[in-house]
Amino acid sequence: MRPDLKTWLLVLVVAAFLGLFFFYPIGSVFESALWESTGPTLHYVGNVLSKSATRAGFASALVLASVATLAASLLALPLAYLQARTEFPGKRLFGAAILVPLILPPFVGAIGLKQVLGPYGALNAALAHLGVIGPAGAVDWFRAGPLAGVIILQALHLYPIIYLNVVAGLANVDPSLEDAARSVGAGPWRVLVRVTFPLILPSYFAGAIIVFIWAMTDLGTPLMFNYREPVAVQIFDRVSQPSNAEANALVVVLLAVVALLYLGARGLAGRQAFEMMAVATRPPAAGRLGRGAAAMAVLLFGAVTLVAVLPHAAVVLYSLKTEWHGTVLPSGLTLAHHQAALGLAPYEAAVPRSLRPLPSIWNSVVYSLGAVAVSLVLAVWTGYVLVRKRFAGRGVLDALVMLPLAVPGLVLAFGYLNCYADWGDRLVDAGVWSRNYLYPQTSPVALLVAAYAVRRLPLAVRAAVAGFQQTSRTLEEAALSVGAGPVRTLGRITVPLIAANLAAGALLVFAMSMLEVSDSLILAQDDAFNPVTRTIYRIYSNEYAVTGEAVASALGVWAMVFLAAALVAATALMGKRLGAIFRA
Amino acid sequence: MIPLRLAHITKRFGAVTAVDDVSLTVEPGELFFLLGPSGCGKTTLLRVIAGFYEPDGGRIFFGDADVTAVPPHRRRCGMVFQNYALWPHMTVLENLSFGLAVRGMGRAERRSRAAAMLDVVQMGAYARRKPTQLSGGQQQRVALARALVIEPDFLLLDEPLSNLDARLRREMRAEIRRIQRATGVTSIYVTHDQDEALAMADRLAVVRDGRIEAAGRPRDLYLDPPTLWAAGFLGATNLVDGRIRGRDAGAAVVDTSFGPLRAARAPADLGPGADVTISVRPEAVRLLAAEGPAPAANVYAATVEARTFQGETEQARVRLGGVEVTVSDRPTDLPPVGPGGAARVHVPAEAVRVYARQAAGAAASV
Repeated sequence: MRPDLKTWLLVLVVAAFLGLFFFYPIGSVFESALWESTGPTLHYVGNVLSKSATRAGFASALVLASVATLAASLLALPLAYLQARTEFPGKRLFGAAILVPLILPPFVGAIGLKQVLGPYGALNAALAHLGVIGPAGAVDWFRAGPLAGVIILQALHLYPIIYLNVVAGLANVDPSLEDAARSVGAGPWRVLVRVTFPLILPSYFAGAIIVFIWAMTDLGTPLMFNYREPVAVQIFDRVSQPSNAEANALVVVLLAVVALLYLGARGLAGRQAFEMMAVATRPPAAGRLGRGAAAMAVLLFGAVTLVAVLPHAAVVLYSLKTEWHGTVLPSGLTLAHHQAALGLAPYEAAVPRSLRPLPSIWNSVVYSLGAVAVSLVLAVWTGYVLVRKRFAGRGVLDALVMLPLAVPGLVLAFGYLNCYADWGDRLVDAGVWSRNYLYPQTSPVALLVAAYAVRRLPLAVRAAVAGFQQTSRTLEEAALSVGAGPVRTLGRITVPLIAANLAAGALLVFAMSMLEVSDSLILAQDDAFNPVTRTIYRIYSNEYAVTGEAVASALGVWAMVFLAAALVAATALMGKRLGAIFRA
Repeated sequence: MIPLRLAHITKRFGAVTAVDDVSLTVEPGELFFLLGPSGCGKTTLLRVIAGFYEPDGGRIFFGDADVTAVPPHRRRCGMVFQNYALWPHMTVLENLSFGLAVRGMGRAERRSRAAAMLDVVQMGAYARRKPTQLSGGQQQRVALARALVIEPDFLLLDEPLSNLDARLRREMRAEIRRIQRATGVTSIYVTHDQDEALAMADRLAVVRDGRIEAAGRPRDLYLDPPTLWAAGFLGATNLVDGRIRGRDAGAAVVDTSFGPLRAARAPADLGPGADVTISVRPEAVRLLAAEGPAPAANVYAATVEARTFQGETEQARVRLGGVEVTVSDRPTDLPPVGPGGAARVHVPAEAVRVYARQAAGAAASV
């Protein structure tokens, strides 16, 4: 079709945004790591790789991610099979409850898990109470190091991603393929292993690779355990030296590893992707479980959900405790920490005034709303162009907008540090700005909003695309044919019809920006501009704040309340289609 | 009221030419049909008229005005879509009022006009319903009302009945015809259903591979199709190959495998020796008993092969010479000859159409 000026203008704006806030910063990381004044060099990469600390960092990140992915798979696969192929009482409810951990930030859960598994924690107290261990026999569950804690939290946080993908995969398997295997004499177990599992392998890989990369590049959870080994934390520890070529080299190596893993998994999944030759003519049969098996299924779903929310339940209790030491439950309850967190009561003088919690919640709300505005406008344009226009390069645009999903926030934040401070300085020197608005030390607002918006853009775009796809083009043409101009058609017909999708997308962007960790920790360097996650981290790790952990918990609880409210609203607006966004 | 004129319209999609140099004129007040098989370009042509596609070549005139570059919302074309495209977030009344609000009409005026139009399509009782609460036929009526309430210069209908069941389709044919007559709006109607086109059209154009194969009044096109393909597409027909022997008192005499056949009207350019295909509709052919009175010419001995009772009509497949021919008649008018029985066939000379023979596959399958 003839290139149409408006389409190209829209594409240009989206491309410009991605170019400025995605490709340019990442490019600057590469430039800093791989270029010297004399030309390209592998010197810094070689240096980084030759250090045993770096190798240990990658090793620990890979171990972390492997074990977390394995654990998440073991949790998710049986649940997904039960959900997709069996009937038992309360199936829908349990199916929804099992997803809750996905919205609980592991970063906050870390506080709770440490309380539960600590030497004077709830688990030891419970075991002592039951007489399993003696009063002096307290087990240090983290004796082997904080690695176990990080893995537990990540597995419990991320298994729903594998679960959602596998359930969707199972629903797409034509039941007649399984029937055919059974008719030639294969037993149920053999059908599962030889027919069903190979067919859903691509779906499994799609989920597992997201979990793997997420776990490998996670910054918040290891930080809360003060676990400094994983490469993500090592990079974070070098934030103070952004122009250091070796720090950039480390980021480049991380990005390369992520890219290789991603491509490898795609290749593996692609090779295994069998096109269903026949479209499923009927939904796969859901076998009704016997009473005993149904009880087991209910028990399994219930237990996994309970264990997965346990750290966060502990966070809630922790935020309400007066004292919680060597007992199963807190020995007393108080609202003091919440009052402190919300600024309703004066906070300890020992803590710097700049670390006040309430303004940081407000900061996060403002930044997140900014990210919602930016990503939503771009998402509507991109969605419109992707669904309604046919032009060369459409596939490229689609791939480009989805790319931020595969790039860890850490990498992007590092790129921002690299390339924008100079631009800001130049504008200050030229007298345009009185202050450098592109430098974390002076004002991180623009960078934070851009980082939040870019990284959540894929979610917003998928929500908008879903909306446009569900809305027949003829509804717009009908409006044009009765004489409504394009603007009125957009306002009165298109936007009202996709409003639910846009609202759901907006809420997701908002919620996920509110709880974003890596960009927030790296780009906010002045406490006055702290987003809530950085304040939680700062209060938590502030040695002068005696009640810091409890106040951080209270703040975490309020952040989760925000998130839960946003997601309940998003679910109500978008209904069952919500899951599609997480599978994007 | 103004005529619609297309001059040399061409529309391409990549390498595919969907509409190829089409010129036609639709007269004021007319119900004009674009009829063709799926993929022939008829819907593309309609969307070019509506302004949803910009043609790659040619001009579109509404009256004297060249609207080729006018965007769709300024064309004053009411359109009825195949899937109705009623806005699901608005009530029936709001669906109708929307186009009036666009024209800056006051609220009271909008309501009374919309209500009046709903009465015309007999949907007055459903004004407060949402489109999802309506049946397919009701949605169809609302879609029609929505297109008409803006008093368009042209009403465009894109396969409006294809989503309805057979009974409702027949009912809505009469209904659309009635409403079109009542409003007098110049209308262009796209369909692949030749029965619909023949029953409803003032005039129709048969579209084939992006070109107009034939155009005219339904009766003329059906009885005297200008091309072999049009003959096959507009209804069932019997095709027999032959060669012209000569002319006899104005009629052409064609040699066929079952003997000489007189054709009352044959193109003058087909002289003796020309290879031809003749076409004759099943209902024009008469099946006669083996014995008894018969017309003087074009009567041939035949064997009945099979009979198919269809209620209103009955069809007989008969073999004469080397060819099979289908005869269609009222069941009571067919002689009682069963399969394998001997009979005679009369092919009236004035029902025979003669075409120059074309390469294989040129005729539409029927």
